[in-house]
Amino acid sequence: MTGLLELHDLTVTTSTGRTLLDRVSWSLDAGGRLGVVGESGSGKSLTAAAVLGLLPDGMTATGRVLLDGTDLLTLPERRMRSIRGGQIAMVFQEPLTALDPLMTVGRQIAGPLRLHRGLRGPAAVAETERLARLVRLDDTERILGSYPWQLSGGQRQRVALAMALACEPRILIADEPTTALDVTVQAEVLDLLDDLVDRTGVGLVFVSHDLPVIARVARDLAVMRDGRVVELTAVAEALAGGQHPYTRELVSAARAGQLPRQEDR
Amino acid sequence: MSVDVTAPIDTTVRVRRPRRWSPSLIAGIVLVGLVAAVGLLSLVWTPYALDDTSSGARLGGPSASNWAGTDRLGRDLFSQIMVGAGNALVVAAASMLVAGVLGVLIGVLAGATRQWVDITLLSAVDLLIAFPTLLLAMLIVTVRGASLSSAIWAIGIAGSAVIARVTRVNVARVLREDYITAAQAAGTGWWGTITRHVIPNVAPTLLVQLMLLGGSAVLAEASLSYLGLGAPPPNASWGRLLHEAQSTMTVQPWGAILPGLAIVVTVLGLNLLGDGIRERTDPSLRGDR
Amino acid sequence: MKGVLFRVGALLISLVLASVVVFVVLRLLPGDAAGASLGVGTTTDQLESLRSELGTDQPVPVQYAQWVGDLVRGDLGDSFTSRQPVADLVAAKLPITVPLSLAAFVLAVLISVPLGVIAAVQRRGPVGVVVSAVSQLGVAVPVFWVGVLLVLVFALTLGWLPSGGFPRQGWDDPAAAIRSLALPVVTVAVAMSAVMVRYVRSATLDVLDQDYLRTARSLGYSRWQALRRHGLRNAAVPVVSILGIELATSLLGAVVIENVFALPGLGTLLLTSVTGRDLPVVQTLVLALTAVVLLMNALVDMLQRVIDPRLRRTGVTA
Repeated sequence: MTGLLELHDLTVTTSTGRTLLDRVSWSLDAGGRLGVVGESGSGKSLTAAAVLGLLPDGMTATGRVLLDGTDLLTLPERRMRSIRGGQIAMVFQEPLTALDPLMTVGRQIAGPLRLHRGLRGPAAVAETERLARLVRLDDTERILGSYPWQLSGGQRQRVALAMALACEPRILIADEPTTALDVTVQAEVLDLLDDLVDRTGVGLVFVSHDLPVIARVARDLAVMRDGRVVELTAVAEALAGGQHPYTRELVSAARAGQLPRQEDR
Repeated sequence: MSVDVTAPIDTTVRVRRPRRWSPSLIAGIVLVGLVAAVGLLSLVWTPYALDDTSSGARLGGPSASNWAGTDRLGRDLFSQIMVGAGNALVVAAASMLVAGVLGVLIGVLAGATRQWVDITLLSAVDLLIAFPTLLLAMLIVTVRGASLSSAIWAIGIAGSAVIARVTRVNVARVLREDYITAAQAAGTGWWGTITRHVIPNVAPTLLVQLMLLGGSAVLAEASLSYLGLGAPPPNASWGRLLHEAQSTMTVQPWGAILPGLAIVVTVLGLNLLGDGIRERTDPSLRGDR
Repeated sequence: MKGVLFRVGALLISLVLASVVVFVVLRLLPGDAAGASLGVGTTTDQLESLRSELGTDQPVPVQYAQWVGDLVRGDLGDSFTSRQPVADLVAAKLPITVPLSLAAFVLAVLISVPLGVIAAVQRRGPVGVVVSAVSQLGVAVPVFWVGVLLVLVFALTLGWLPSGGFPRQGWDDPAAAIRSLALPVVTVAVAMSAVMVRYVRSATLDVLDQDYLRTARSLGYSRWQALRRHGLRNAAVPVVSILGIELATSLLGAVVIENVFALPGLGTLLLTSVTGRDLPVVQTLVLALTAVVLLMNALVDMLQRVIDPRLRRTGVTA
């Protein structure tokens, strides 16, 4: 049986020959929930960028990234653009900077609707409102007419989710989506994410340094360290004591509440 | 490889140490050093005396005896350009001094005191920034007559507005930092805060701004003397040399080219020096800005 | 709305302050204006009559009040030297200076915005490197020297365009008028572009590093689509803030450049008035030019509020 999104030996190197990702392989089934855990610099975010074909200048990806059997790494940029947002969407860590400060959130959500689904005018407005309700943005009208900096952190992340889900992608990559939020808001967004995956059937790749957070939404787990996947397992098994010593280290650190905090984005 | 407009996604990838001796810094030091050396040399030696009308044929082109040719009175152009270097640097240094002293005083006052002082000074500074240097210079020349010091005062006063702005912004920013609050909680006084924490923090930015100001001072002085509002003869100014050469440039184009090149070299040098200092002192700056 | 009123108030205060500064600085003249303008060899009678005519026998605050009162009523005074009304002198010069500076400003924007954006997007590519290097060099070049070089090449050597002057018929001979303004316009525009390209480039670079561009890319926008949708508006905020100053630069550039090309515009008038110490003309012209600059800055501030809703919220720009 093949997965919806399969990574086979995904390797990313810099122009100077440094290897940043080393033969990363994992697979996500339709409607699956994969957690990717690791410290900062372990290559979690870089994996997400490589899947979307948005690596920074001077980096090259080799290996295979298969979406329904099509290798994304060999797709021309034009076809990749319809995949981004349309098939695979992404939510980032810091919702304030991830949104354009000069555009109302309503127009930002409507952007991908027009780009991928050709919706405009009243149809786009109606769909935007439906999306806002989907991500449980109350007071929809006011919020859609607001600028990102007028909203709370939780509201902004819901907006980012609405944008990502606008074109009913089959895969949602969430890169530390709750790290920048308060603990209570964090719980709300995680619940929402959990619920959205259930309702829309979108496949979830949840990237985080925080194992307990991952445990709330993910079923499978890829443990990354220094650009490698050191263990592929189920979240429940990992929590019960994983195979790899690093996984066990992460689990015991999480129990003690001492997981090293991530410093950067 | 095509160019990607997205930011690098993993921040660990783009850590780059600022180079201490960047090309800008080296080029700036070389160019400004060259101009300064020529200016200093002109104090003790020039190929011909400035008023020597028998240095060569009138309106002669560059030759072994007149490296830049001669003007319409037969005076040696290279000697005049050499003396012009000294003149340009004097104007640059003196107006940097005027602007620096005035600007820092205003900026510290505005950034570190009560709000109404801040607002009053800021409005004055904004007015001064909006008030074009050239017009200020024209006012001052109308009153004091065309002279080297008129030019310096005009350029210096106009430049002080920018320095005051930069100082004020940085002073206000530094004063908001946590460590300042901590220092004040620990009993450091107002003056102590300014001298011990604020000035050292602001100094690199100011130095950069002063270098850029020096560049624009050289440009402004050249414009003024081109218009006949700068230092009158016998002061040799590149701007005046260009003005004089313009009417005879069909015969002797070098007179209209070389003093201009001298201005470009000087201003470019000061600007590069400013950029170089900024790259060296600002750790947040990436190499290519 | 409150922000706009606030800005208009600030503009008026700046104008009053500017008029005081101009007036006071010019009264610092040793001796008095009448003596300065008539020069040596005038009789006391002449001096006295000129003084009472000019009002310089009155106390300084009264003189200021009179001057401002006259200005408000539209009376700009008379020139010392030509005895003509300043308003007529200025009006005669506007058809040269206004087209010159406006055309130069528009041309500079047309050159620098696309170049700056391309230089930022291709910062490591050949275009980016060349544009950066040329603009680095360009900001070090004095504007009048650009004019001198253009004259040397295009007028004296190639003979394509006149080296200076303005047709006697003025704009009644539009072809000749445009030909005489061509080199001056290019001169001012080239000099301004060097500065503006750097602003546009660095504003665009800042935007390119923003997370929301990455978001847009992750949603399927192409590089240029993302830049057009989010980048240009965000980059416009800092760029617009210098447009006021740049428009002033073009006006002042025109003043200098008119002297290079012997164009009988405001700049030439201002220069002859300064060297001839023609106080009423200097006083009024300097204030008028300053007023234009201040007005431009105020307009630019308001334009920024339109672009950036965050400014509307705070009211006061710090």
